[in-house]
Amino acid sequence: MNRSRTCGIQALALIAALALPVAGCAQESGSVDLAAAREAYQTGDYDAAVDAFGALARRAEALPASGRGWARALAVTGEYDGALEALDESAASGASADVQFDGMRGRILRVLGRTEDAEARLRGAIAGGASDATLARLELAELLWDRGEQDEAIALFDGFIDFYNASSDPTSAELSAVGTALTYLGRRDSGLFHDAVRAFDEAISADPGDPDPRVAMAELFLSKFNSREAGALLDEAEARNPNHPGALLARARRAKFDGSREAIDFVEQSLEVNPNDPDARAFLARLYVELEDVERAEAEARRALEVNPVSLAALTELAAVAHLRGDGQAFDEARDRVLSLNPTHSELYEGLAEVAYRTHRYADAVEFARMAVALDNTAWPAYAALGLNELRLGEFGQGRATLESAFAGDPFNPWVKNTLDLLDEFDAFERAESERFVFHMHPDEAGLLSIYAPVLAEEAFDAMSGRYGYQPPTPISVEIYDRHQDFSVRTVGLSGIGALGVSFGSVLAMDSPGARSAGEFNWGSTLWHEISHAFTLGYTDHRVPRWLSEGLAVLDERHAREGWGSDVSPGFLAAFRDERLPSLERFNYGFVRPAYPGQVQHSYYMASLLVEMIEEEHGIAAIRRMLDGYRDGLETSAVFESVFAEDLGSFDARLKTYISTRFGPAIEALAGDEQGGGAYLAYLTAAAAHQSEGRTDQAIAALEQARAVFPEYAGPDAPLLLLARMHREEGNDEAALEAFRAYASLNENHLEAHVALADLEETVGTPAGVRDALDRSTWIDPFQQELHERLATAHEAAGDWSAGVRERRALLALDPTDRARAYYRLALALFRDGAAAEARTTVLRALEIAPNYEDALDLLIQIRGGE
Amino acid sequence: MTARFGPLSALVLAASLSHAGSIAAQGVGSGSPATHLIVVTGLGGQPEYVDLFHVQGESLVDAAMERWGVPADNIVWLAEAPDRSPGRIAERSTKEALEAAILETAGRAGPNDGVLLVLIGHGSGDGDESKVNLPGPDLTGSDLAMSLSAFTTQTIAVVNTASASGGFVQALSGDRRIVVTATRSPREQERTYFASYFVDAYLDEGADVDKDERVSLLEAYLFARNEVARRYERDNQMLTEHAVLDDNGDREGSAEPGATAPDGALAGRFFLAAASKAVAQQAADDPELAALLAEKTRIETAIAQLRTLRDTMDPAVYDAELETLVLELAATNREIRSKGGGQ
Repeated sequence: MNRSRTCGIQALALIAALALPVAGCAQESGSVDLAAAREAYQTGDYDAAVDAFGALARRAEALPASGRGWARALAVTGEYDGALEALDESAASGASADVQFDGMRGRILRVLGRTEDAEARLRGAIAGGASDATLARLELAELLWDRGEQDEAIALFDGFIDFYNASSDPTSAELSAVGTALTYLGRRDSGLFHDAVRAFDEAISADPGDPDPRVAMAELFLSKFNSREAGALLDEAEARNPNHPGALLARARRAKFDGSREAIDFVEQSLEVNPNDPDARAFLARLYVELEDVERAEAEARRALEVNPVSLAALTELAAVAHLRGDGQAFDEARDRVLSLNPTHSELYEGLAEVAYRTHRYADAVEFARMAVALDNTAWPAYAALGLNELRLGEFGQGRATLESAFAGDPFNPWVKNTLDLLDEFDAFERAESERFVFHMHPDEAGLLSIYAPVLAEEAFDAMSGRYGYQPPTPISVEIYDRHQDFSVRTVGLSGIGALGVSFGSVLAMDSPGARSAGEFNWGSTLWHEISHAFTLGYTDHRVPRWLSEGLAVLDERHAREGWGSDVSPGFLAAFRDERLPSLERFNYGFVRPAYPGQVQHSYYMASLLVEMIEEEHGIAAIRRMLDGYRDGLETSAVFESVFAEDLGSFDARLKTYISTRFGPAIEALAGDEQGGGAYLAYLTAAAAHQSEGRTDQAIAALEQARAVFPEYAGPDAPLLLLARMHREEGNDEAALEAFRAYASLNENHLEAHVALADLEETVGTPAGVRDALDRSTWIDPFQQELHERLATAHEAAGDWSAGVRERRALLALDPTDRARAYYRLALALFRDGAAAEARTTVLRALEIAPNYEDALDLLIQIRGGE
Repeated sequence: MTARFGPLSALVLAASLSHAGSIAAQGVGSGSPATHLIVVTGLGGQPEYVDLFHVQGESLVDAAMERWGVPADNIVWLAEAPDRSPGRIAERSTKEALEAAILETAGRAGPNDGVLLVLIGHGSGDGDESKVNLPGPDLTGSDLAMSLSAFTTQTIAVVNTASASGGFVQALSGDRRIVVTATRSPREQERTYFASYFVDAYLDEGADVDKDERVSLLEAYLFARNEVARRYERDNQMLTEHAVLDDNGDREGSAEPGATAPDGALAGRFFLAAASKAVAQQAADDPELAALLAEKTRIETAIAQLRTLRDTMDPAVYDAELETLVLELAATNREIRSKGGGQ
């Protein structure tokens, strides 16, 4: 593209664009009305635009612009037949040649899927020299592209560069067409995306009042993963026209990109303006597909096909629905239909790969992405999807190579760039193996974490093998990232994910305890949780719905250790009481498109309660039968029907009863009255007032009342914790101990409480309690030398030299300043534990640092004497 | 105040004697090197810092006398408020008082003595220059460099624990100089924790990493640096003080000094522990004990040499040779003890 065009020319184009409506017929009254009609159209007053354009066209004034505008104003709200009639009526006046309306006819016919008719009209407009022939050429090129006739399409797109260079006064719409053409060409030359941006910029300058170029440019930025720029353009477009269906659809796409729950809202708003937009319907179908709500997804796809029976996007969603259902025949039909319409439509497999990824079917995602690149070797998003999903399967070498290809073709993709950067860092990670696991850890942390993680992982594997009667493919790979941003990139390609861990099946990734502040999470329960996913995903061939996999993982945590996975909170109970939690039928929405902040966390707990209820009522066998059902491709309603002979509505009602019963007093106490706040809050308020005025006994009494109505709560502001602290401050060790014990049995993250508990256990002389509290603490923050020193001493005092060895190893891994002592104490523990040979080499490490270390020398002599 | 020696002091002192290159812990008789300690606690500003600096200064002085046997006459403590410890604090910690204390110490120090000057307080940075906030005019590195020129032959260690202290390296680096600063530049102006852990190094057991019953200045530095880093990590804070040590005179502080690193060799031989004239005299009078001490030195040297070969050796062979040597050392140490060495 000629890059010599200057801002001066932009300015000229702007002047020309503004002047055009008037310049052609400056003294005609129609020009004023045409400007008003355009204003109505551009600001989204489509009824007024229809009336204004229609009036002009009927008077045969300002044709062909008025006739085209009339049709556009009708088409933008989905009145396609009316739009075609408007064009015919405009042409019938004879004031303008019929061919002047063929470009717009072709455009509308294409939306309706009448491709051949559309092509004929578009070619007619071009051949007939219609004043909008440039736009018709773009439309034709896109039509050909969608039909897989890429060579001719590319030739047409390529012509837009010549057009741009040769044209002295292109209109805004023509400049926008140039931008769109360059976007297509950018698949083969990524540098052209910059030129596309420039063309759109010039289009905006040429007609600042037209939101269309801004929307088109926003779509371009979204395709290049730039949500921020896209958002700014959409803000501008919507400020001008809040009813712009394209802007609303782009807004929905952006919301999806950002993981916002508003995606469905925006696309529904778009469909309110134009209920017959096949693209918007297909996009809504995609959102439902990703929610695994296949019925709604299918319905939306079919509605799109009612308008446009050859909509590739809608047919792709039908294929996705069929895939999720495991309906091979329907899948084949939809796929074959797409490929018969466009044999090179790589977006089919790109879309399927994305859906497969979103629904945790990573092997399927790889397979689909491979098919996509096989169809079109410039399908860079497919290369990216392929590489990322290869990595999710643990295929690092292949994944890296694929991502390198993706990056070469599209250097704008931040997922690819970030992941390649991460892979460079990952090369330095250290590897540790256990019987059924392989761990990858940062070198700074590997020494410490490899003491604990493999032992816990193997325990989890044994526990879950028994529980599910199944073993996932091994070795299970566990990547533990020392920086949260690296984990985030590994998981979603970008920083900012809120999750702690992720399971891709037998490949797990998680934050290390060093990736977050101490007390933010329990890395042991997180590891256990992700291993649970490896089981349920593997069991069902990755067909388990998100809610069930998460519910089981949280329940598995609760089975593993006291306090793990016990996350009931006032917020959860309030959401339950206010019926803000999704019903069983739409359980996945709470995870994938949460309706309010915090709903994801609430959904985890809700799902865990559901599976806990099922297990209590029917045993683990029922859970296994559910997993069997999903593995066999059944939908949720069919699973419940087959396993429990109960429909979802009835089950949902019983779940609500279960929760109401289990947390009845708390729900009641949390319920506000007319004065606001419930009894629970009143107790806490009273406790605070008593405490501030020094009435400690009354404060304690009030806290006891709060605890009594909601004994399960163990958040940082729980009455139980406040009580424990208050008792401790009052010197009532016995009461403090009871409260701290109760709190620690419910809370897995609160380091201070666990250390305080250890202190109190020590004070009252219960060494087992000390060990237990400190053992739990290592799953909160394993980097504190003091904790390991205490724990080592406690285990050694109890004669548990094996545990002492573990803790001494941990201390050494923490690189203490006094390494000689650390080696010596480890050697001593090893010797006492019967590992004389290792004790000898270890004590030599101490003496290597400190040759005069008397204690170490004595131990060495002792070891030799023992030999 | 009575000097307090623990039961292992004999070994401490014997070990001190064994390191021919040790500063302030070698030689025999009235001309033997001694350690001099000057502690300066500057302006606290807020009461909590006034108390903190006082406690840190006092703890260091106590440790020097009680644990490490530095004679009270060799210690000068200048503080913001002399009346908090009358008789122990020599003067108010003004720049003039420090200059006088340096001159006075230089006047009585032997030619091979070591002098440890520890500055505790707030600091500030002005371009590349660091200042310590004292009552009256602040003390700059240049000021101190001029005063320290009074020491013409002695080894001088300056430990500036204040914030923004990094500029002292440039100002004081030189021959026979060890400079430790709590920060690597004058631009690190947040409060520092270095002083607290540096004092702890002389109070606790953890800093003596080679278990020779002494704490070298290098060990004290490493202990303090590591504990500072650990504290920031534990508190989930970004590390805002990066201590450095310079002892090769190149005006560049090292964060990771060591016996074989560009910086650290001199600091590794600088001890607060005083020489025991009695023990030294005993060794001089008892050829057998002197021979044992020489043998001990030989074995320690052999161990040090073996360590340098570790990466080139078969691990089992290396361990076997190491084991032989350390057992020899243990036996020699036992004989030294049986001869009453150090008692």
